Amino acid sequence: MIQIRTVLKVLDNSGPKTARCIGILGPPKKFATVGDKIVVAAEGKVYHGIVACCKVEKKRPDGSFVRIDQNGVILVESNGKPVGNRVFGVLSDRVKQPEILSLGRVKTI
Amino acid sequence: MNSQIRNIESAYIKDNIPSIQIGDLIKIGVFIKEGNKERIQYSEGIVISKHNAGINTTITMRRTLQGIGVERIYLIHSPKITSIKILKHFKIRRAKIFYIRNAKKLKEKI
Repeated sequence: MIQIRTVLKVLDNSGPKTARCIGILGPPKKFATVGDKIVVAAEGKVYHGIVACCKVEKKRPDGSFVRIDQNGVILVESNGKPVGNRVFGVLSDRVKQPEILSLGRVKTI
Repeated sequence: MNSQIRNIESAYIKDNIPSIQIGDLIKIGVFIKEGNKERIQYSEGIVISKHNAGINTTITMRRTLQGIGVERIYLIHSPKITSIKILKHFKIRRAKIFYIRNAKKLKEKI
């Protein structure tokens, strides 16, 4: 449940360590969750981001839930291209964008 | 629980599940499908909570992946769960051990 003013951890090597959510893209809603695109501000600049992991549990179709200990985001440009070229940590399996999964050695859970 | 619900559920409840306690280190095998391939994925972790609800009994399993804690809640009577094996048991004096989420050193907390 990421909302405006949430501080997320940046999971790639684009530079900033943390980013603050300043908007949620797509149809109007209050909370973003894993796999959603959000607008973030990091080190004075504005990027888009894809929420990679979330502290609130996410239900899977088989009835199980996953909960990760941090709120993480991967910074992307407006056209969807990732800003960094390496991704660290654990991502959720709802992150399906091939540009991100191709950044090598990505661990999805 | 209502006996009628219990009668319907009894057809689907597994009887080969070991008795899981809080503080068990378990290895759970889950049936997953990647594209066209089907395989069993094993994962280990500590049971930190158990919710008894007949066929909807769930356990919460916590493990650490690449320095980050991951918790998974499983419905143990699900057909996707192929095996649950208890590797070790830690003596715990609580029903839910959520305090280990703040543990810097897990061994001290357990």
